[in-house]
Amino acid sequence: MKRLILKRLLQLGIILLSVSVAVFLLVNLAPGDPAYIKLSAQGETPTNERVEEERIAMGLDQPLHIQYFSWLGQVIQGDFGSSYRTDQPVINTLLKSFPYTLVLALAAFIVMLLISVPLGVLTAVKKNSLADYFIRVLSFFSASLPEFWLALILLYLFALQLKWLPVMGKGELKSMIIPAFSLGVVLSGKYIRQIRTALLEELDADYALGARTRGLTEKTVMYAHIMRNASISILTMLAMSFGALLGGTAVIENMFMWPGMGRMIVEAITWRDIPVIQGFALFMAGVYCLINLMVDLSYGLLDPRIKIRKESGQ
Amino acid sequence: MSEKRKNVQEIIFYGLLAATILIAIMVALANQIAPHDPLAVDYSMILQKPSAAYPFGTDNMGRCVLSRVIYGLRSSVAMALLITLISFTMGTFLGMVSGYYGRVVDTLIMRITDTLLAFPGLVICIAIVGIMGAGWKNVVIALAISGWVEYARVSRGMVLSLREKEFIKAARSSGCGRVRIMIVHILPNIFQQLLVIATFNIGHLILTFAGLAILGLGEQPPAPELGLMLSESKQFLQLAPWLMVYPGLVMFLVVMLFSLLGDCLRDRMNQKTSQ
Repeated sequence: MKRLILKRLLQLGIILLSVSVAVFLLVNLAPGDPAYIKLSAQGETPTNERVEEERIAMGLDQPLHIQYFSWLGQVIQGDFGSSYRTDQPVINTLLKSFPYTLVLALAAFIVMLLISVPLGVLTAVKKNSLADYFIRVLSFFSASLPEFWLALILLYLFALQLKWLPVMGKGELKSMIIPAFSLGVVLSGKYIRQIRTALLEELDADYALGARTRGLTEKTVMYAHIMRNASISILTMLAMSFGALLGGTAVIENMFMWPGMGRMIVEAITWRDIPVIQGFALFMAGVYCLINLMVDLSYGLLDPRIKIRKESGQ
Repeated sequence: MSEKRKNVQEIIFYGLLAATILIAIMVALANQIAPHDPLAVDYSMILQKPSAAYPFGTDNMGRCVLSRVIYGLRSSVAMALLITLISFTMGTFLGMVSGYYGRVVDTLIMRITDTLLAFPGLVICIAIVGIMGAGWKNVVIALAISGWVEYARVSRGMVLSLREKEFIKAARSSGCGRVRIMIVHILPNIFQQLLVIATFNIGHLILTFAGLAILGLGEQPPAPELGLMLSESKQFLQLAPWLMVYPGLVMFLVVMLFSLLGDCLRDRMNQKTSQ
């Protein structure tokens, strides 16, 4: 297990290093001179001399690889540079808005779990019944729903017509219900189907057949054997979706003025605040990869079969 | 599978295909079909309910919602097709090269895909468009950069398994060059599966395109764009809910259409291979 963890950490390191190169090179895509952009973001009308001074101050006159390594050295120490506009450290901006995105993603994730696990299990247990078809059609609908549209419909019904929920919030719990629900419902459409497939795949496994030939009822086989075996892989699949969800809240956040990462980044983009955009991309990639690594490793811990397979290098 | 069930599936498939063609014709002939100019402002007709002259009502500037939806759908579909075409071609080419040549080329291309896959959801697109500036051209570039990865991964995997098949060995021993083998012998064998992915992706791209527009990164007002229309509708939700209903409904139906079509294509392909 130790070797596996080390190997994974090394892989993670390599990926994050290439992510950092990509994020660094992103700036070179930017039309215009970063020094000029920085000065204008701070409200100056830059003259040529000022831009030239700033270029040297920012180290833009150095060769590209030297710029990269000095930038990387700072990033490793948690210094993502400072915002062009406010001169505040980027990391503070990120850490201020990240909890909001985390909470929203967590709430959406819980909604998704509460919908997709029971319904997914139900469709597998009652395979080809009326309930199965009905839920599958519904899940198909919800998977095609644009979550921002669903959010507007819910807003219209529950905030404007029924007046149960606030129209607009400032980051309090009640104003999170509609955004979280919309994200969760759309996501659950996809996972109901995947849970069903995961369970049905096990139906024909040798151990299920063995249990049946020993005279166990179909119900016992399903609940005591199949579900137990499939549960870990289902949980892993669901946990992996959480990382993706963190990167998928931006649109909803902006529609509902939720003060998370998605809202922060749009504001940064308006001001062409390049260090913040860079920091955002790097931070999100780091968090996403870390979550996936943890899920992957705990998968091995929970299921001894996987652990052995992975260690023998398969 | 029973004969009857198979027939039903055939009917559904051709029905979906017909619907897709109908939409294609509708958006291609947007100029003729749309009852009004999608940009024509008419302050005497502000926020009118759906009526015979304006089947989907009018917005806060008196513009015809139906016409805007038709034009919006046209730009969404065109964009999705353009991005799919670029990422399909690029991804398949790089994936095939990666799988067939192996070694350094493979490692390099796969490390690039790893890098792009390290960004969750929209993050990479937001970052690229954010730095290059808003507008549909940059959105196309950003979505193509993140979109080719899936095609590359899948085609690489298929090439790896095909490479050792008898017919490829036979082609090689009868003197076919690498390029010829890839284009004539491998590509036709992986094309169908890639087409299924492409079909699924079109719906997803339409949603992403709208999402980026809502973020202010895609099409800019006053362009008729489904996502923009939705985000503008929020202000008038109480007064004019139709502004929210129709663009969303159309987007929902089109996305569902493509995902149903993808499902059907996949089933047909699986049937063929299992026969």
